[in-house]
Amino acid sequence: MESRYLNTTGQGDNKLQGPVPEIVPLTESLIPLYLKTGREAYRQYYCHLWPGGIPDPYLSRNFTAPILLGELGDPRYVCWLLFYKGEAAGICKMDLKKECRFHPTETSLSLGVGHGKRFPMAQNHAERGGALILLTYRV
Amino acid sequence: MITQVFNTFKEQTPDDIRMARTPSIMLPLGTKAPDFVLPDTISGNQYTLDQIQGEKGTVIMFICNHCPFVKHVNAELVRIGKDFGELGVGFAAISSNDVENYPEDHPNKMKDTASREGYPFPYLYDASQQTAREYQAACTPDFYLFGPELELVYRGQLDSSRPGNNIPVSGEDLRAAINCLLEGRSVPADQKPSIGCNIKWKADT
Repeated sequence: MESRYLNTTGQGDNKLQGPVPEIVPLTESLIPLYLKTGREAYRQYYCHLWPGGIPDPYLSRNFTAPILLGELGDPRYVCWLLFYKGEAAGICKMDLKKECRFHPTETSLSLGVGHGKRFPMAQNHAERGGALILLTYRV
Repeated sequence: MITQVFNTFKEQTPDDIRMARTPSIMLPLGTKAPDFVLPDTISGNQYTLDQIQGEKGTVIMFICNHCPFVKHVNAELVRIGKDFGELGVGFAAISSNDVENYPEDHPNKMKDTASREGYPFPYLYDASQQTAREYQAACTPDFYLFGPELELVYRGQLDSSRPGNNIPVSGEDLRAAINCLLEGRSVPADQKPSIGCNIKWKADT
């Protein structure tokens, strides 16, 4: 039987400092909040990839309610909303088919189990300049 | 002996290097990505094209350790892999060179290079050179971008920078093609071949 857990508490060798983010699985009712939070985060992390720093065409094509609805029904993907201090602060999408790779020198939290994925967190919620959080999970 | 040859090459002028350049063959656009099963020198795992394929696109690049044209762009390969890997583009690098005559390209040294450079993608070893033949790879580096259905939408150069030409490495051409793909626009067919060292084919192939 498949089971998953998310470890954001840093139990073990590594510990997160400060308030613990709350991870909430994406549901249909959360899609509007997920889109709003995700668009905010995308604009803070990926604008440099687009001509003129404008990611709107990409977001309009790839980051929409119909696409998210499709992914909710696809076992390949899992999506979560990250709440921090009671506010929606980031999103996380994992492609369970893909191996995540991290270079040892890359800034990340290595919790030592399962796979990991960095995900963008809105900068007003990111403390100490560490705006990328690594989640680990087991499948 | 090989080291001596390489050191001599490094001392050549840009004009001399230009003489040794090999361009991409430019596989026809629309070609379906040839499948493969190749070992990753980093993890030791076998990878198929299906495992590399990204939900939005897939980049296959033929590189190697010893080629100065590859060394010239290594940092950008890492950047572009990280930038677009997080947006659903799959990446893999493949080395197909004959390691008997070019021991610098041995899988053990591929692993060292991947670790040192921080490749965020598998670095696969094509011992039989069959994959290079199927992709009609001619040089290192040589780049292929496939769409969501694994149809070829771009092939050729990373950008116009070459060792010695003083053009900054930006990944401009490949990045622009990936941008088109992610935004649902057609990738312009006016594409420039990559140029680099030729694939080091085995004598019996």
